[in-house]
Amino acid sequence: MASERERIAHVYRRLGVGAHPDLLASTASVSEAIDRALDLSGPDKATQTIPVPQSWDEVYQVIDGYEPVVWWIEAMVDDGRAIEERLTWFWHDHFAVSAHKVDHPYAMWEHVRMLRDHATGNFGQLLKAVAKSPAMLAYLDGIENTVWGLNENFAREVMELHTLGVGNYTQPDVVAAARAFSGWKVNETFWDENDNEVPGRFQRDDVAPWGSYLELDDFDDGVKQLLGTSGNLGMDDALDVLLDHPRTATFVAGKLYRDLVGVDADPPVLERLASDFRSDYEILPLVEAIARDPSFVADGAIRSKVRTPVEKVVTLLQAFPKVRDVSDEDFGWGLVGLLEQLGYLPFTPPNPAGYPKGNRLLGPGQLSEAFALLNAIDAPPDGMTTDDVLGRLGLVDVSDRSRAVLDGTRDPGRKIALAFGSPEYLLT
Amino acid sequence: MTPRNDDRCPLISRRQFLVGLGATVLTAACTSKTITVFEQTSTTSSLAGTTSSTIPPGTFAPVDRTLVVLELGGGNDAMSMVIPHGNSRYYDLRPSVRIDDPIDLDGEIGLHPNLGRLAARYGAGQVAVVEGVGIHDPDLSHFSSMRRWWDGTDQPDSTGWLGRYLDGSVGYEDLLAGITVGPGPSQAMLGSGSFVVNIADARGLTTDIPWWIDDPDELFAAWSGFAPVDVPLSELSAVERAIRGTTAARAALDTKLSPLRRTLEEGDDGEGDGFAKDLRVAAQLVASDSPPKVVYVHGYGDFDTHENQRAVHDQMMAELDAGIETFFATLDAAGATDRAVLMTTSEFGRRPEDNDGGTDHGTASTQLIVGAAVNGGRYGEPPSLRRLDDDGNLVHTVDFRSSYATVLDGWLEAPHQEILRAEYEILPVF
Repeated sequence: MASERERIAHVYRRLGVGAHPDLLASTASVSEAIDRALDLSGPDKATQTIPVPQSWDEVYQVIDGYEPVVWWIEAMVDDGRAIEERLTWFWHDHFAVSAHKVDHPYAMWEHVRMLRDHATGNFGQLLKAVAKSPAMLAYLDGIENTVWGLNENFAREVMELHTLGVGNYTQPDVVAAARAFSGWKVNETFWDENDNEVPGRFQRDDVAPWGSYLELDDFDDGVKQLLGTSGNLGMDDALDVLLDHPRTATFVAGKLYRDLVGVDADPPVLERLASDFRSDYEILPLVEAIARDPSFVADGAIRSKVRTPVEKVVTLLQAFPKVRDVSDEDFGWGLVGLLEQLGYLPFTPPNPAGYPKGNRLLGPGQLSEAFALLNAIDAPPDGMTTDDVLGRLGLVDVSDRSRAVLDGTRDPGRKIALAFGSPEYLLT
Repeated sequence: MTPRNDDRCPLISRRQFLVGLGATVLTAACTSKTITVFEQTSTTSSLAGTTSSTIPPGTFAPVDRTLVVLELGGGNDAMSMVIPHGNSRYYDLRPSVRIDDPIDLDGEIGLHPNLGRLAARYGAGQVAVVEGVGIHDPDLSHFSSMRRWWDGTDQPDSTGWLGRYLDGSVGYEDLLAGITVGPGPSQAMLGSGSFVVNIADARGLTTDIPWWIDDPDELFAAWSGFAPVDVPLSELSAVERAIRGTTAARAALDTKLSPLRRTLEEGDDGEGDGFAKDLRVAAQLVASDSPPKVVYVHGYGDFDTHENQRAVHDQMMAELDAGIETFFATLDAAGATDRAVLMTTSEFGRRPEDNDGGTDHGTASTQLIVGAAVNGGRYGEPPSLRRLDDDGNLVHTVDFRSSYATVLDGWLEAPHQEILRAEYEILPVF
């Protein structure tokens, strides 16, 4: 049976990205840990903005680099507003868009900033903002979807991955939704080699650069029949149909429960959570209901998930803050390279279903490659004992065998590396 | 899914870097390995150990042969790979993405013009073209379709079809019997009583550990203490088994791949990135002493050509041609040509009628089975381009499990019924 301190660490690992040692040391009970992880009164991190780029130089030399990744990782390392960090990443995974295709760092940045704005807010508003997000319109081919040539990509994925789940709609529903979503564009801005602005395909003076808009000439204004609702549905109308469908609340609440708790919800629990969620789609109350359910800190939930590379590196940086004199650029590019190698680079989920999870992260390739993440921390502090290392990494209940392995070396660096590779650290 | 617009990788590749942290220098891998494994099920169940239904090792006699599966992720437009150019309906359906200059095979079908070297192999009788391959009741979803292809069963399963083959042949006895090349292990290779090693590239299981670790080998030796060899596998958790397998496989794999690494370090990067790079790793493994039974190459999701299809798909066909050629040329050079057969898979084909620049999700597709042991020619039956299903998609003529049964029985000599949990028609490819 897990100790109280392990449960406290578990709360921070699951409601945040890692169990920050400072938080851990100053928390007395599970309920206090939940209160503090859900506390949004700390400084708002969403105020960070970047200017709309005015030239290729600004796109590729200023913004299109390591800065967004480092900024995001450092926000996760910070011990404030843990749940906002957890959910911003959750929605990035749920509403996955990738810079590999979107190909514009400003659109990607704004997409994730929008996710952060809505992360603990209202799912309906979040869904509607995502559908009009320039990054999503580019990623799932919304900008190619017109009455003259329907493109089903977003229509299918929004039902399969974002709202209903597979099997709850038909191919005619996909076509109807694609028609309702047709005509949306992004006001792209480009430049020639002399940095003179050149018109993008869908440029409009009355729309902000890299804003989205509906081009009525390309919208299918006929009657659509979507999941039993018929009418001249537009984008928000169609999304309202999806939100009204009872499967959506069950699908999203079930996925969030699985993310936070690590196991599938018991049917009666899920039914209650989904029913409450569907009444107003408020996200934070759903999270709180999950966190206050006894199953959240039950033994079956503790270490029931495989720790992701992002969770690994964030916890490392929380445990051993960066102090070495290394330039931001070296650190930034190093971090980008490490996460890219592990398939977990922020802003680049591998496909619309998000990042790999679970035992897919336990392949020998990922396990051995993950040791490279240790490069993210400085030289190990001198004189670290086994207990020091475990404490910094938020590992409380540790098997005798694991402790013996760590005790088997006196070198602090190797102690840290072994704790990093321990069965306890590989799970979360 | 996401077709790649071009070969740029905005976040990282435009920079000449990487100055890593400490002494580490990493190469910027813009691999665009866009499809990776997907898991909807809870991790508790997936972290569970051997199940009672595990096929015991030794059920299938081991063979000294390798099956290489090449997954074309995203839904390959088979109609642009093997083109029904003799069918006038093709031209009506494909005003914007049709291919006017296929390499004719028999007056009815032809290969994409970028598949010239594959066409030569077809001429030499080493390529089986299996047409009309699909799944029943297709739902056009990438993820549930992939899941069905990986599982090879009608009901969702926690193991994959090749994982069950590995369970029933070598079990845990041979840790290098199943290797995936790409981003993470494939669900198709996950068994419940065997091990699968995944590698990203020729580096195998070597890694860039920080400067303050003095001896990587000693670190890995100490790391193996979390799963001591005197503890039976059955008493280890999934995580501990993974540690055991990783430490045990590391050195052996390093030996197998070191010749290729040396070649690459000398500047010979063959045909570069993409399939060719990964299939060269696969070929190196096949050409080594005690080759793996199964190699699974995956991670290329660029086949999801909803838009800009000709540019993207033409490029992928060139890479496919280069990849298959590299694979067999490497085997030829090592005198190991007879050891391997290569089979392509993809979760579905694409809609026969194009969408003005691209194609949406479809159903039946075409598979290639390539190797010296193959009886070259056409198999299956081309689906009608006129009698489409209610969604405007092809009606499949061959269950995808027939292809699996064909390579299981015909190449790996493992009766397919237990692995696929049903009986399927075997195509006379072998």
